[in-house]
Amino acid sequence: MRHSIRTRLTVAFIGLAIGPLLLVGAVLAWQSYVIQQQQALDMQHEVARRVVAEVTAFFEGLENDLYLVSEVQGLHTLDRDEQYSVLSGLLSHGDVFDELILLDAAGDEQIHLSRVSLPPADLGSWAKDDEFIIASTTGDIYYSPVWFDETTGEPLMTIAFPLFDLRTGSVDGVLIADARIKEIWDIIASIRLSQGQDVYIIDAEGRVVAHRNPSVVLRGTRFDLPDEDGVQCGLAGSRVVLATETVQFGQQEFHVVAEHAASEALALAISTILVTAVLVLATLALSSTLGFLAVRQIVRPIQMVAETAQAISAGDLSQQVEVTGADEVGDLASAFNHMTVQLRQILESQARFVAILEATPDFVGMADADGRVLYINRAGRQMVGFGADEDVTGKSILDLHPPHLAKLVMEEGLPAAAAEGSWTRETALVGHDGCEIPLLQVILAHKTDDGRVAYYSTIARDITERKQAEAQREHLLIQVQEQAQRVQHIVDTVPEGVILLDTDLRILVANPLGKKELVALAGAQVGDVLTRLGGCPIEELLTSPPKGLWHEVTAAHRSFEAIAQPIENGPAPKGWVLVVRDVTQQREVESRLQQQERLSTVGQLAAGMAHDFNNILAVITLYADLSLRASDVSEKVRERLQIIDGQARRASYLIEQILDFSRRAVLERGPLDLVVFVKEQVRLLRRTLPEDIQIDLTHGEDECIIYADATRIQQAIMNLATNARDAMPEGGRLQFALERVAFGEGDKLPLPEMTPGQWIRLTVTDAGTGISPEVQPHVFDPFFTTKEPGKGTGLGLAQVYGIVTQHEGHIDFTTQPDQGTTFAIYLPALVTGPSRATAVESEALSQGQGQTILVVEDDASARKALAESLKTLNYRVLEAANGRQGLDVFDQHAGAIDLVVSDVVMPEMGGRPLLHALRERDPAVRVILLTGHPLDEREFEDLHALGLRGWMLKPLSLEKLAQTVAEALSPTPR
Amino acid sequence: MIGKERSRSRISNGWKVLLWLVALGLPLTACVGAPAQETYTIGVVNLSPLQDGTVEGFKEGMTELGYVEGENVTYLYDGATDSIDELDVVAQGLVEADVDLILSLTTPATQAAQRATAGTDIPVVFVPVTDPVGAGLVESLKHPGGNITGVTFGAQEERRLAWLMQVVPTIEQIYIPYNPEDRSAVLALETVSEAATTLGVELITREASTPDQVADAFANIPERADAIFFLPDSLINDRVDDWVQMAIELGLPTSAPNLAAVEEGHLTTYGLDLEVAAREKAARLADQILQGIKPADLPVETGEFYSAINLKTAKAIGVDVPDEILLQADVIVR
Repeated sequence: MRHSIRTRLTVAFIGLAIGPLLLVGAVLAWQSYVIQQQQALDMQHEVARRVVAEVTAFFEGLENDLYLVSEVQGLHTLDRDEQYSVLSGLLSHGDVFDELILLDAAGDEQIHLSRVSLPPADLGSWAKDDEFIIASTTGDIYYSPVWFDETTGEPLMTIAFPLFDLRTGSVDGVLIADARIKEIWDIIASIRLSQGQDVYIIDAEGRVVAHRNPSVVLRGTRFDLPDEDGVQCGLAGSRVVLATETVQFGQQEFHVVAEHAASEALALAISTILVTAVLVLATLALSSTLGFLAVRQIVRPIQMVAETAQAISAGDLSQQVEVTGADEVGDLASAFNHMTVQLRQILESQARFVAILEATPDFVGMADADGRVLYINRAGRQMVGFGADEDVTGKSILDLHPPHLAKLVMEEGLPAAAAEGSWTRETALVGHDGCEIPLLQVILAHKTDDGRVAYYSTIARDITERKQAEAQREHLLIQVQEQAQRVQHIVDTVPEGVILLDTDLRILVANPLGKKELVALAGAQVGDVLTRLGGCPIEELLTSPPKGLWHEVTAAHRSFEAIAQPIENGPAPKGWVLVVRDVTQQREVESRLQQQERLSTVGQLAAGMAHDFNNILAVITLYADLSLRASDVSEKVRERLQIIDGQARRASYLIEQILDFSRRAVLERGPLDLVVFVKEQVRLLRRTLPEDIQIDLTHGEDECIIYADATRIQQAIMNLATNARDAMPEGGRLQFALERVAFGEGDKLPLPEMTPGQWIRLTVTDAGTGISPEVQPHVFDPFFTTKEPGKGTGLGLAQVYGIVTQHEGHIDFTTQPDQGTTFAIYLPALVTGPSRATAVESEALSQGQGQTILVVEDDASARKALAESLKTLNYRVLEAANGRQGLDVFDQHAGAIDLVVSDVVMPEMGGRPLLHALRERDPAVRVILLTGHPLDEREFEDLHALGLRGWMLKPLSLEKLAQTVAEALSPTPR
Repeated sequence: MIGKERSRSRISNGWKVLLWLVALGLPLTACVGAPAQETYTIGVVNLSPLQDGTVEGFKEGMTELGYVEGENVTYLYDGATDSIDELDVVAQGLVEADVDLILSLTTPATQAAQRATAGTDIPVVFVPVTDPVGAGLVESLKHPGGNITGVTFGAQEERRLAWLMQVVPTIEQIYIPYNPEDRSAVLALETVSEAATTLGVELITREASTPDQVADAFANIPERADAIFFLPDSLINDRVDDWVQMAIELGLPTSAPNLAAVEEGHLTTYGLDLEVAAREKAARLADQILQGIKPADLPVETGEFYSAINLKTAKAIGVDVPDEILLQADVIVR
């Protein structure tokens, strides 16, 4: 309000009217005061001068009295009595003299009279006193300083009056008079003084010697005369108008001081000032009233406008300014009322908008340019946990956001909004429960005319549900995408070509295999209308096949199967899904399987035959050995026996080949470095094959170690080399190649029956005539040969096939007529060290210690040969024809049988049931089984758990029999 | 105009201004003196009926100073006491009446007032006391120091005796009756005795401390006495008329201690005019005390001596006073 119109008008009024009025009043009052003070001072001077006159008259009277008695009455001419009488009269006259002393020319007292006492008995001398010296030497009247009577305290002055000789004119005596200046008190008291007025006399020492109040003098009052007259501190210590006049008697100077209490002396002046002040104030009051009314007249309408504005600012928009006139203020009031109406409409509109803002579920807020919150709507308050009536002003928007988003909003959002007008971003608020509320937030910057940001407002929508929906949708989309990817993967990876046709048989979509097979079958691609597939019209494919589910389609020596399924989503098909699969390889595999099954069947047949032949050959061989070891055999018989033995062994080799083919050969497998091994074989072949055959071996740096029976592998290599040799009667190049190959999951395998893994590939390539297509399906058939009779058994490649297969390997071949043939053998790679040399060393036959061995064999010859062999090896032998008999014998010799050697296949009770039965009778029983074909690992493990101590493959050698029996009887048998 | 009225006048003027200022709402301040007491009570302790004139003189002086009896001042005075013994009772009564001031006349009365006011702040103004310092009433004349001040008279007894001898030079023996219990009288007698020796006259003293003794002294005036000299002694001087009449009958010149006694018929005096002293000095002292000044700060004032001759008495006793003597007299009662 300091700068209000009222204030300024008031200030102007004071400056223009009251100020001069006060100034004039003050000048007049001051001038009046000064004049009246001077008048009061003059009055005091007048009083003082009057006192001076009175006092002067008093002292002149004293001098006159002394003059009368001395000069008129001729005091010094009288005799003593007359002098005494004259002085007594003077002393009693008026009581103004306290003592009178007459001195002669020498200063000696002649007469001494006192007002209160009798004359002293002894008269004194004044010869050395100033009174006498000055008066007598100068001839002038001497006035002493004022002195005070010790008893009464009254002031006295000594006056020395010289007495002159009439004839000589010289001083011949002095009259000393102690004058009682107390009389002056009465003089002063007789002067009429005004109220508060006072007058007194001080001597040169400042002592008050005369005052209308004797007490002032009697108490010895002193007064320090001020330096100048005027308003000073008076005798009583109060402010007085003080005037001094100086009077001198002889050498003594006195000051007559007249003072008047300032309050009294200046009463008129003060009254004048007060009256002036009153008049000024009255005028001031009047002018102020008029000014107030004038100002009010001017200001009131404006004030009404201001009050109305304040009321409006306080929220009362119903206020209207009274239009007091048609002047400028009236125009202002009218305009203000109009503005108020508009403002009310605006505020009502604003209220509606605020109501909308308050009702909106979105967060709506406003902050100043520094980020201090000014407003948050109800939804916003609920979001961030502010109460409905809680004061949010002053809070920072930093408090509303999580720290990382608060930084984003402050450092990016607000500057961006300030620069571009708005900023939209997904942010978050810190909810009332401390959890983040995801928002889609828009920040708007509201600028002033000069471009400064005045406010920021924000609208933020809670997108929690949307985010959840998005997350769910995204999750579903991911699931769908994953599903689609899986489907796509399935479609892409299915071994069939999948093709989608519309109703016009136009190719819409095809998986990679489908595209490939479309090219192969129809030379078509996506987008083309499919008319035929291979040699089959498409319409035929859309019908059910004549038999089965699939249509057979061939093209370019490849076999396909195709089937079409309508996309049914209504009465009419929306399209077709055509599935095409390349069954060329399947057909080949099926062919191979058929071949393998055939070979397996043949192998089984051959194995059965080999068993019987082995039994026969076992008898022949054992007896031939026994006979040859007999000492009483003639040389001729020995030769025949040796022929028998040789043929038997040849037959046994054939049997071995058959067993190799039928994968029933007994393998003694161990780690085998094929590189080293094949090198050795190549070296061996170079010595044994014709020189026109060039033998090469190529291999890499990789290890080529397998787990194999070196003998059987050697057999396979030799058979292949022999076949190559036979295919190149004119010589040629025989190439061996070794390499380690790895096939991962999904890799194309050389043979369909192979599995992924590490393989050692051994290829044997000749440059021979090749194998005709007619022969190729029977290459591995046993006893199938294209050679002339007697040139081959037809078991070579069959044996190779069996050996490779028994080593869990695979064999294939490629051939080109007149260019040669390549056999490829795949054997599982073994990651171990190189094999050790497996030389078969002949050992001395292990001899028994007379232990009892039960031989169970249904074949009597074989049983007999076996029994005799064991006896030769220093064993005691019991015999039984089958398992049942074996149990009986075992029971009969309970505890005496150290070992049971039994055939596996026997009537009534075979070797395995016998083993179980013996185990039940004696858990520590030791058994060796005789078998026509090898036991696989799992079978041996099962039987070993029942007490099996070993097994022997027929036909037996004596060394094998001795070794196996000895091991079974050893304390720590296998 | 007395001080209180002056204060009232100032207040009146001040209030007029104040009323104006207050009426105008201006914050002016004005110093207004404390209202003075409106009425006063003054008690009087007097031993001698002769001092009634002194009391009247005091009242006159007070009236001149604005203390009008019945208006703003009340005097508690039932007359002079019959004896010194009653002085204490009267003085104590005044103290109990809580008077504003006690006017004591004569030394015994002042001493009684001193005893009664001991322990109070009631001021005492005496008139006259011959030797207030010697009587233990004040510390000194210049600085009384206590609650007592007043008017004294100096050792003018020598001059009074000399004045008597000037009027009647033939006097050789002088009769002096006195109350030995009145300190003023005793002190005065000592002075007079010394002066008598100087002047060569014989003093015939007669003690009388009771009325009977006074009566006896009155009845037995020595025949050889040539004059009677009265000391400032209330007990003796109470019978002034009898003494004057007796002196005239006996043809004896007398000297009284104050001017009033000459006017009553004594032949001479050189002493105080008690009425004047009371009117001009004691009343002024009382005024100052009532205005707030402490008695301790008001010096004891000395009364003026006046030489006086009653020519009627002189004629009655056959004394012819020469003119040169009359010229020296301040007052001649004709």
